[in-house]
Amino acid sequence: MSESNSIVKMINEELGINLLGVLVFNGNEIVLANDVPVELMRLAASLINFINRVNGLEYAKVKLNNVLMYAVRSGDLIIVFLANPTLIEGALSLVNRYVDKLVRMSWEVLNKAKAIEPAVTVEGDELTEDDILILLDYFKGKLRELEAKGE
Amino acid sequence: MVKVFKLVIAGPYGAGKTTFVKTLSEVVPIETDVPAPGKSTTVAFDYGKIRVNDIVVHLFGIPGQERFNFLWRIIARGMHAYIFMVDSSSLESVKSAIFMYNYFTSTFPTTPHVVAANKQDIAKVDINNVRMILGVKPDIKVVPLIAINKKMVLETLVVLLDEVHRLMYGSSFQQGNSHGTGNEKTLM
Repeated sequence: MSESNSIVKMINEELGINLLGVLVFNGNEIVLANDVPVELMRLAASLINFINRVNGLEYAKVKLNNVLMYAVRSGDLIIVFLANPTLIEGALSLVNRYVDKLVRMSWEVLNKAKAIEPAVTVEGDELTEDDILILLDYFKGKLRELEAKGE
Repeated sequence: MVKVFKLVIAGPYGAGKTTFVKTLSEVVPIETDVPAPGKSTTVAFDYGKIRVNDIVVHLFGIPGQERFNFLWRIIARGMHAYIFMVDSSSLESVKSAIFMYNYFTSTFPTTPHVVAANKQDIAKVDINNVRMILGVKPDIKVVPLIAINKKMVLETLVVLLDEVHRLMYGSSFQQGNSHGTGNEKTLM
């Protein structure tokens, strides 16, 4: 089980609620997320798009498509809690106590990703038309070889 | 001087990116684990390369899980082109690619790409429906693929390179293309 799944489980157990998911965004990108359905991720992403366009918005509560979304900004990060709309207001505000932990986890992930960035990133060089034609010629040649072998 | 051609293989979990890289790469593909808080979370991205004269083609398979989308941008930085793979063996698997496809086309709107409908040997969704479900623009090619079939993998790559050439230099080398320049004779 991922760390994000664990924290959702922990929140639900400690608060006796049934959160559907927790996602942390940096800008428009997901840093942490539990295994929530794609549809919920899209809903959260649409909320993030909105929040990012509004300067100074620190939190937002939105009910959309039968999902209650509670988003809290913490510096560059925005944490989105997804819950069933029947969840009472008071219970939802209790999730605030997990924001710091989620922010810490997110920065650890972001910093480690940054640390490995040079190793995983090779940037392409500027290529000429001849370079592209060389590649095309090479791979077409490989195709012809396969065809000649009857594969 | 050795030049780098950076090719990214994108697509959701289970689309066949690892197989594609393995089929194409001249070296044993590398998988990497990214450390995550408290433990090691497996964020396997595939890496392979092919040397063509003085050009090294670097292949990067991007982790498909949406919760790792912060890595997508990092790995995709500086890419020349990408192949977006989908598992066309079920409607659900094609639909699961929508989020990632939207991310790539909106984040890298000018980067040449093709969509590869993988697992066509057991496909339940044809390439026209893949196009419709993902909302692929008419000028973007959707190609059938079986990633374990080297010929189809090479064909996909040739289609992509042709797209790169078309977008960079305004001509195409695909057979039957009316915009050819005459160089086809030396290339075909």
